[in-house]
Amino acid sequence: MHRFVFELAEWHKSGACAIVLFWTTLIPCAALGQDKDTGSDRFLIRAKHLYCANGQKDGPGEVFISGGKIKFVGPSIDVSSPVTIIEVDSLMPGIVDAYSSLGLTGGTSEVSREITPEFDTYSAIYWGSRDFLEALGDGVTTVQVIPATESVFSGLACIVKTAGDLGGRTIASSGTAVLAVSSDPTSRNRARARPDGIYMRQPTNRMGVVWIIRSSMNRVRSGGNVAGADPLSTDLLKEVLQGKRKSLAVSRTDFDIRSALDVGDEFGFKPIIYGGDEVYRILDEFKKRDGQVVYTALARSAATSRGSEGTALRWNVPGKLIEAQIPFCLAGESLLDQARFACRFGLSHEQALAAITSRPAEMLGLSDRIGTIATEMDADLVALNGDPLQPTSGILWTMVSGKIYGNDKSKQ
Amino acid sequence: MDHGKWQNLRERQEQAMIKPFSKWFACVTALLSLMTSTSHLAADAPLAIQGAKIIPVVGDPIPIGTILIRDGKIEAIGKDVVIPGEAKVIDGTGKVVMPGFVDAHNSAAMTSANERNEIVPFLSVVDSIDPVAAYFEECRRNGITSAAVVPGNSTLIGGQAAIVKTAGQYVNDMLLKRDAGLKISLRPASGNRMSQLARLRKELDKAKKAIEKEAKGEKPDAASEPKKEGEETPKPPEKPEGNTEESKDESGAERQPDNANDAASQAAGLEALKKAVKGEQPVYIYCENGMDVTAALQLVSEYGLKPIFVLGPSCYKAAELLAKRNETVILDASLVFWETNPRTREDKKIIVPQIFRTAKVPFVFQTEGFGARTSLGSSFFWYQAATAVKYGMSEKEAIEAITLLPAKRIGIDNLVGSLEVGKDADLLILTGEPLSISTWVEQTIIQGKVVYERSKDDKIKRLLAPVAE
Repeated sequence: MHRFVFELAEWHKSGACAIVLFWTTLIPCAALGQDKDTGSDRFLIRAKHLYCANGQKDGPGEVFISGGKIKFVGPSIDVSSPVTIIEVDSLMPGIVDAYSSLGLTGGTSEVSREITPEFDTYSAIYWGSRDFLEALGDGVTTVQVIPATESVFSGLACIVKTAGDLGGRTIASSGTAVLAVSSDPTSRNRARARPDGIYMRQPTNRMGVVWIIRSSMNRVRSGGNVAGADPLSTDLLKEVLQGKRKSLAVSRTDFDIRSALDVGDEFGFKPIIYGGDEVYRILDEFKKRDGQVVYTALARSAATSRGSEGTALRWNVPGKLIEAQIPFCLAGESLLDQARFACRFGLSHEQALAAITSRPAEMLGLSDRIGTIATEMDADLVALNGDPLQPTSGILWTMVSGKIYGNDKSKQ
Repeated sequence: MDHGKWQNLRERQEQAMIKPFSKWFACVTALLSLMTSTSHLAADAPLAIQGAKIIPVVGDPIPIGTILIRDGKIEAIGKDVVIPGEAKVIDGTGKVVMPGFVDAHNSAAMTSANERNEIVPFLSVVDSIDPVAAYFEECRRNGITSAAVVPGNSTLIGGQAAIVKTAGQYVNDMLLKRDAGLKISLRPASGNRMSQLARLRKELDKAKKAIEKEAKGEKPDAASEPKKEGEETPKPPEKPEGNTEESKDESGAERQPDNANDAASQAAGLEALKKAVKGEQPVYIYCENGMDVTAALQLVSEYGLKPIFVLGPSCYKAAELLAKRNETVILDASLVFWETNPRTREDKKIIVPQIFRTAKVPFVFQTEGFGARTSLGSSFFWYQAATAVKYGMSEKEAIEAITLLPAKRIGIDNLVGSLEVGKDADLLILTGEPLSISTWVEQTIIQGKVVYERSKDDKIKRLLAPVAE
């Protein structure tokens, strides 16, 4: 078997193979009566370029996978039992998107009430959604699903993988509490709506948004109930106040980011900022206040344009955040492209890859499980036919928990 | 009187003194003007780019070569080009030099892309091109040196396209071709596809009949002809060229005096249509989806049009049909997207460049959203080309598809699109390989003049070093 593998490597070295995907099940495997196709859950992936996203220098490397986990990573692995060997050009960790609405169906925002912190995105995910296929095709293996932010306490985020059986793909249901500290909740109001209609709500301005957070938290802190909301809402906000539940605030302008931190300080919780378009304007203050940001503005445009709420887009905010040593990650649509452009705009290759893999995993508190290629991590991997950060490179396949999905047949 | 006499005398004396002086002065001025003109020449003096990797598009790349530019044209290109002493030399060591990109179809340069009247063949985009438009600035920044400015995709017969260089103070400085082709859109802006096509046919028939009459030796009054046949459209009279928005707001009474002009524009419109039907001028035909392509092909054979197909995203379904014509088509800016089959609910990733490659239809790209919301990357030609490479195209072909191929498609390849002796010196100095993510346009040169320098681009600096203002 070893000899066979060796020959494979020789053939590879001969330079004859431009297409590097190689797929085989070794004879002993068949002899043992195991599934010839993807049934085997043991893989040896040999990559010309292995990007572990954990600070190790990239170079040739091999990854051994068994039971949906990475069992071994090294320059050369000798496996003496049956295994499926795959050769690829580049291998990187599965992409982690901390700000996604993947699979959310039937309306993504509650529009009848402002305070619905107990609404759980996990209960509204359509698992058969095309979103998941698209995500797999783009190399995304884990997403945090966040409700739209048209109500002040928008609901709960959940974290799921983009493929697998339902039990296996759920990492956290009923997760982080989502707050909207932005103009979003005011957007649903109609100037001359019927007083009893769902379009006639408070807040009608951004001051009201902050006021709702403050007044709700005040009531909870003084042992009361949140006005007009379910008792469950009160319990949930209590958890946030007691530091038992994480929170995030969707804020884009500098003053909203500041407000989110202010209201957090007032009540003793620390929301992670999601959006963060204008964080570059208050970098020093943000750093001093131990802010963390999930930056999504790069997704919107590489051309010159404005974000929502009229924020002027800036290209190299990630570079500034790294310079200031502020914990951050990239999030939102087309994450691999975001990393590519972040690299174009100033990040190093390593920093750009980390910004969509290990860094979001850290921000989600899951760095012991996803985001890097290391022993005992989930086998979430992306194989490419070239440097991941070059626009000419395509994704060959995406592996989630040891299973391969989204083979791009065009490249075979 | 005496006094006056004196004065006259003095004046005469002064004049006498001035005369030789003025001669001398004239001399100096002449000399000065000569000097300025030579210094002007010096600015236009030969320009040499030395030591760069040159991708001429036609022929193999030159690993380290020199390009010599004189009077806006490429005078020499190669490994061992002798640089004249008076030449200004740009050190291109470590850089890559290639021809500027050619944009075969865009409406972003126009202040407003679509006319509200749907049949306006007499209009010309030249009247709506703003040389200081953000579009041109972005062009120079991103390496586009020539562009076909074409009326938008929502007007049935949208008017005349023009081809321009992307730098200049006035439109006339930029113009390469004034009447570069008629724009026709098969996307119904109002009504349905049946009436859209019927209206289009009616216009083309008018032109066809006029041509037939001319061939028989009859001299029809082009302007009055439609009226005689009672074919005048029931719409309000069409307006002359110019600011159509304003005239729209005018009342009917105020519009009355314009009737003469209107007849003139009708005549001009008929002329434009005749050129299209005679095949003297290309027709940019926008097809929104596959069925439009079928209709367009029908029109092309019926009226003998010379088409340039501008395709919407879902036209990939008609790739096989287009293959028979063996013509370069212009693809939509969105090259990769997902579709769900409404009947089978099957989800499918559509990779447009791959489909057209398989069908053997040559294609060029469009970009989208200079300034507007867009997906990452599709604002840039190099990125579009890189996407095609991702899905199987060779890098050489992809580079051709953003330079020479679009130039050929719009008929300016005798001037631009490749680096060859005698062609316009429209070229880019890049920091690295054209399709790499980390490559930037360092300098853009149009007709031998540096029109963009990254080191002087304050906007890029602001974007890359964001600070609070």
